[in-house]
Amino acid sequence: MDTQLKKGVLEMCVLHQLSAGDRYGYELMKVIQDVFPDVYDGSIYAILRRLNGEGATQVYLADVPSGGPARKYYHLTPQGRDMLDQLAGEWDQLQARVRLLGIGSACIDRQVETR
Amino acid sequence: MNQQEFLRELEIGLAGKLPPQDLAEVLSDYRDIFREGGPDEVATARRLGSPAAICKAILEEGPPVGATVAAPPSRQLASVGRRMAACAVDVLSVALVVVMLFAIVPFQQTGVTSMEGGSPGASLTSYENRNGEVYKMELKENGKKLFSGKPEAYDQYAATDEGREAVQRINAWQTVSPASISSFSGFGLLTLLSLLMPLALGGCYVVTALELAIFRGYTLGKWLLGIRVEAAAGGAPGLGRSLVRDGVIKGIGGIVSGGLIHLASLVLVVLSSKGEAIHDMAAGTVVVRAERKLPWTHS
Repeated sequence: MDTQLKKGVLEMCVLHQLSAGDRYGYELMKVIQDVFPDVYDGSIYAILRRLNGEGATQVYLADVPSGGPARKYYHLTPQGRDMLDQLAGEWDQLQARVRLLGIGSACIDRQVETR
Repeated sequence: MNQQEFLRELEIGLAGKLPPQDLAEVLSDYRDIFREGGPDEVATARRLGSPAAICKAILEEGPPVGATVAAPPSRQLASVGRRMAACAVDVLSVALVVVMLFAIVPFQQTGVTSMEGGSPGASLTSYENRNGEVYKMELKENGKKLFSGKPEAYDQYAATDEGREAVQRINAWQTVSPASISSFSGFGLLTLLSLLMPLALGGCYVVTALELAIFRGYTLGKWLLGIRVEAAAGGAPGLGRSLVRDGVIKGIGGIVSGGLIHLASLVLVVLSSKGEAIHDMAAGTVVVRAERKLPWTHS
C-alpha cells in the first residue's frame, strides 16, 4: 500500500509527531511504524528527508544522555507548522466529504437509523 | 544482511543519482538507525526492508535535497586598491571630524606666565594666545582672586590705590628672586597633538569598528568603494568580529607595532589568494565586492 493518499497521510503524521516535540529519526520511524505496521521504514525516511529539504524541519545534533555519538534531531519550523495546519485542514475536509457519500462509521450509523 | 552489506547496497543504488553530499547524508542517517536498532544488525536490516526499495522511495520523493546546509553565495574578493582607498577614506573622515572638534573648542591658552609675590600666596599670571598677545591677567593673594580680566582692565585696576599696593607687594618680592618666574609658553596645542597622534590614529579604528557593527559590514569608505566586510561563513560581521578586526588588531595592534602591522597586512593581502590581512585572519572575516545598497537590506 504505497499510494499517493498514504504518502500524504504519512507526511501529515510525521509533521504532527514533530509538532509535539523534537525527535530523532529512529524514534520517529518507530512511532509511525507502531501505528502503520505495514509501512516500511524506507518510505518514512524518504518523507522525512523531503520534508527537511523543503524547509519544514531543521536538523541539529544533540548528545545522547547515556553517552555515545550525538543523535540527529528533527525540529519543526514555522513553515512546517503551516504545512501541518494545511494538511490537517484538508484531511478534515476530505473525511467530512467522504462521510457525506456514506463512507465512514458515523454515516453508516446514520444510514442504519434512517432505515 | 548486516549493516555493512546494507549500506553498501544503498550506496550502489543511489550513487550518481543523488548529489554526493546528499548520498553521504543518507548513509550517515542509516548508520545512525543501525546504531539505535541495537546489536542485532541482521534483525534491524530485515525490519528496514530491502535497500533497493529504500533507494526507490528516496528517489521518488525527490527533489534533490541538501537544504540542511545552505551553500554560501559565491563572493568576489575586493581588490587591494579598493581596500586601501576605503581605509584611507575611513581614517581621513574620522580624523577630519576630530580636527573639527578641536577647532570648535577655543584653545586660546597657549602661553602662561606666572610670578609669585612676596606676600603669602600672591601671584600675577598673564595668559597669551597663539599670536603671543596677552588676553587675560590674573592677580591672586592668599588664594583669593584680587583681579581677573582683560589686560586693559588690569591697567585700570593697577592705577587704583588698591591695585597699586597689591602690585607693589608682588614687585617687591620679584626683585629678590626673579628666577621663580615660571613660563609654560612652549607647551602648546601642537605638542599635545603630536603626542596624541598615534593614539588618535588608533582611535579612528575604534570608530570604524563601530561602523562595521552598526552598518552590517560597511564603513563610509567601504560603502563608497562598493566593498563590504563579511564573516567568513557569510553575513554581517557582528560586533565581536568588528571589534577584534578594527578595534584590537588595526587599532591597538597598530599603536603597539607603530604601524608595522598595517604594512604586513598589505603584503599579505597582495600575496595571498584569499585576500586575508592579519585582521581578517584574527577576526574570521573576508572583504568582498558588494553592491552599494543600504546596509539593512543585506543579509
